[in-house]
Amino acid sequence: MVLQRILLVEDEADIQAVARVALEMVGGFEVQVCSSGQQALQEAEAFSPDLLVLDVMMPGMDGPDTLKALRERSTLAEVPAIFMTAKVQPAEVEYYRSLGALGVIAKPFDPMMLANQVRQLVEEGA
Amino acid sequence: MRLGLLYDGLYPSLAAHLLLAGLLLLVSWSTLNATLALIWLLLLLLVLVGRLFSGYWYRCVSSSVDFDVERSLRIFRVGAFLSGLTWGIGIWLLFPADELAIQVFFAFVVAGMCAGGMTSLAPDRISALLLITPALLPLISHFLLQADPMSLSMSGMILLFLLFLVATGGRLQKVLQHNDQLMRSISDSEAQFRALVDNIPGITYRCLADEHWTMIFMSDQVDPLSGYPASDFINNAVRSYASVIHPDDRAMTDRVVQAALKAGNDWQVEYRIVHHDGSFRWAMERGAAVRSLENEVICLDGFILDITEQKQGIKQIKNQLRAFATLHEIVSGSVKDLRQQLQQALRLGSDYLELDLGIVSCIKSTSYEVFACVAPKEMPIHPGQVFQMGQTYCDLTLRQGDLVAVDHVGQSAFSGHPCYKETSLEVYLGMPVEVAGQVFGTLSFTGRMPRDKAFSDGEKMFVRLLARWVGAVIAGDRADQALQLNTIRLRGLFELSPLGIALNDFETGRFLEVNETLVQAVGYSRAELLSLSHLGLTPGHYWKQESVQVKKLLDTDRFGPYEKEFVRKDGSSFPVLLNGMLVVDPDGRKLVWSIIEDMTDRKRIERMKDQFVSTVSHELRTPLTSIAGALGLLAGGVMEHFPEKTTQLIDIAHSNSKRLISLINDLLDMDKLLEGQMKFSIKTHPLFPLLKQSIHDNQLYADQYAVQLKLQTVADADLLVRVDEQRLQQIMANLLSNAAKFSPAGSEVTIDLQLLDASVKVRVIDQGPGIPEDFRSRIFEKFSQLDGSSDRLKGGTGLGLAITRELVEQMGGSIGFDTVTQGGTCFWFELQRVSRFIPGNRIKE
Repeated sequence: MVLQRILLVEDEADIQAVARVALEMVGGFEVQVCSSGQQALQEAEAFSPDLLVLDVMMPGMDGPDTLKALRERSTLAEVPAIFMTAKVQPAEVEYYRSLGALGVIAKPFDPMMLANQVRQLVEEGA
Repeated sequence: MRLGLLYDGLYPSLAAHLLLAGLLLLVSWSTLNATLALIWLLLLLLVLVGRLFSGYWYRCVSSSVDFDVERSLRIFRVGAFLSGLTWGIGIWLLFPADELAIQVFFAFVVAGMCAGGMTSLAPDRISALLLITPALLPLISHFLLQADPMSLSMSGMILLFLLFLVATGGRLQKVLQHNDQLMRSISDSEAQFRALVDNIPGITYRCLADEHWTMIFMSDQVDPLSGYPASDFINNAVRSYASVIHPDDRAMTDRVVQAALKAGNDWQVEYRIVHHDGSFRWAMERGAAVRSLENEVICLDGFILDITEQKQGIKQIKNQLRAFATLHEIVSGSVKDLRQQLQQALRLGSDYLELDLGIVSCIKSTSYEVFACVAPKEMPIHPGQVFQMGQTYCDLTLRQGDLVAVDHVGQSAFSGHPCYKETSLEVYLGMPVEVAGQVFGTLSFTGRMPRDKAFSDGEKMFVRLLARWVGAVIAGDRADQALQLNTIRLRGLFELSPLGIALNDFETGRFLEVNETLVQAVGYSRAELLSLSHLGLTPGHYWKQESVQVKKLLDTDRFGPYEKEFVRKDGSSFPVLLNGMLVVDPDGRKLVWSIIEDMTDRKRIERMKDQFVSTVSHELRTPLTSIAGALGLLAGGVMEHFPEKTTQLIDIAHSNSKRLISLINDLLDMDKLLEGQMKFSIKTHPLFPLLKQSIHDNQLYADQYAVQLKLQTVADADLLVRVDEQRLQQIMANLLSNAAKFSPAGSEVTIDLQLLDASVKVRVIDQGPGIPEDFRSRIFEKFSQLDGSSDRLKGGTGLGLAITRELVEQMGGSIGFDTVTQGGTCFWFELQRVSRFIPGNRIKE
């Protein structure tokens, strides 16, 4: 599988910007950014991502809820997912994995390393 | 005694012998041969003079100790025989032939002599026979030889006379012997009586019933009682017994005796005797009348005892009893005020001692302050008055350190005392007063008039005891005051305490004491609360925990800290933290003191803090993520290339934003660790792979300082430890980054392992400058960083090692550091090793 299109669900505009630069300019991916779970549900299928990167803490629908909802769409059911969060206690990591995520990227992330981290998790999950 | 009688009769009988001989010669001179008559007279005189001497000799020896009775008797008997023989010779030589009248005269004289001799020699029959037999036999034989009927009858008659005398002499001797025995037994019983009388502890007497008590007999013991010998009183020889009876007691004594005589009873009476030396002595007399058959009083018999000592003893006992009664009255007084109490005691004391002035003083160095006093109106002494110590008699008492009693100061060694000159007080009785082992002052009684006798032991004892009581009362009063003050203070603390305080009965749980804070917190009134048990405030689901605390209380006398809830009157509940202890009151009742902290505020603050920390963690971290991310991208040269100066500034901003992130992370970690909220997922891990991982993870960081990390140990899959993997990596990251930071460029940081008995020691050794001496003790403390700009440049929050220590300790390990001698530092932590177990069998590690 070629990893090219990443759907980033993140409510914080500044982090959206940093992550977009990190993934697009450093990693060379194609990134679609959604600012909320609802927006992701509306736009995800059209974008047809190779990977979902979700923030955990979001107003309204949080990351895990958004992932569950997206998984209900047949076209998105198999797309790998990664959470970005400050909460990286082992138990929490286990919990995110149980939701079908490949892994967790700890916030604050290093933008220069972000693309590599993403690739590594996807390769490990493959 | 009979011998005495014999010798007593010697001189008269010698005179009788001489008289008879003279008479005989005179009457018959005409018929006699003158020469023979004179020779016989000379012979008789010789015998009589001999016997005279024997009588004189007897006088001399009879009173000596070794007087020989038998010898004296023998001498007397020889004398009697010689007398009789002389008479016999005389009759034989001078008997006139044919002169019947003269013959008869001879017989008459000799018979008379014999009869007289018989009487005077009655005490000794043998002496009598020795006298009369030689005297009469020549006469009988003369008459017999004449052989005429007249002569024959004369001789027969004389013989008969002789026999009669002999028989009579025997009877007389018997009478005398009997008399002798009688006399001896009388003398014996008199001696016995004497001994008896002498041994009776008192005076026996017999006197006439007259106004002089004229003594017929009185035993010698009257001497010690009166100072006069008994002989003075017998027959009123020198003085009458009545004269030594105390004038005040005479009338009474007479009255008692007369009444007893009238009633026919015995009497018993006590009176004083005026002794020869002028003192009084007490006598007790028992007596009874001796009456004739006609019931007339002949004399009085009785018995007098010296009871002076008993009387004095009784007086002393009475005196002491009075002292005790007074002390009891003082001690049991109902007055509570100290000064009044002391004043009352002084009044009773001065009444008892019959002295004018009573003072309890308080003495400080040389000043004498009247603490309490009683004084007559004309003596202006009042409490609070201050004297110079040296001007009071009490300085004697303090110097003595004991009781000082002076009954007449003017005649004592203290007559020169300033107090005497000033006040002329004559009597002083003082005793130091001690309070709690320290001299407080004195108790003293003084009087103006000298006493007629010295203070008795009872009076001294009284003052000693009273002084002790005064000390105790003052000490008690001080203790009361201190206690009262203490109680007020404690009560204030108790009521004003921001913590609830309660005293409960251990058995029933009932509240016995509660403070205002608790009353306010639970919403009950104080009275309502005091009717409840602590279980009445406890929600049911705490009852199990409750029993755990009760057990703890019984085992250790303490309970808590115990977090529970109390139910208010309105049914709402609030969190409380309890701590308490078990006490036992003097009745043996178990009580529980509890400190009850209302945790409502603390819980709220905790929640606020949690929220705050959470806010910090998210609200600060989110923008920081953006800042650090953006700066990272710029510094990473993703966008475009900036001039060198710009790049430098971006790098500064980037590295500082990262530092800020790690600071926040450390703060959050520390907070969690200290609150015990850090969750550890402890699992058994092989140690070696974890260390290898840490080197891998941290080498990138170390590269910045051109430092090489090196694991200097061989792989050992059996070396297991129980740790939280992530936390162990955090520990390693902290230690390795620290080591790298302080290492010179190009050096190595070595990690090695030391296997100990039950643990393993992980060591991180650098080649840095080492830790300065003065910093070593603080190195694991929070926010401890080496001062100085050069170290600041190394970056770090100052929490790294503190967090590391917390992590190690919370995983059951220990941490420390050693300074390596050739420079550099070795940080180490020690973890328990775990054995790989198959049930019942241990595989080698």
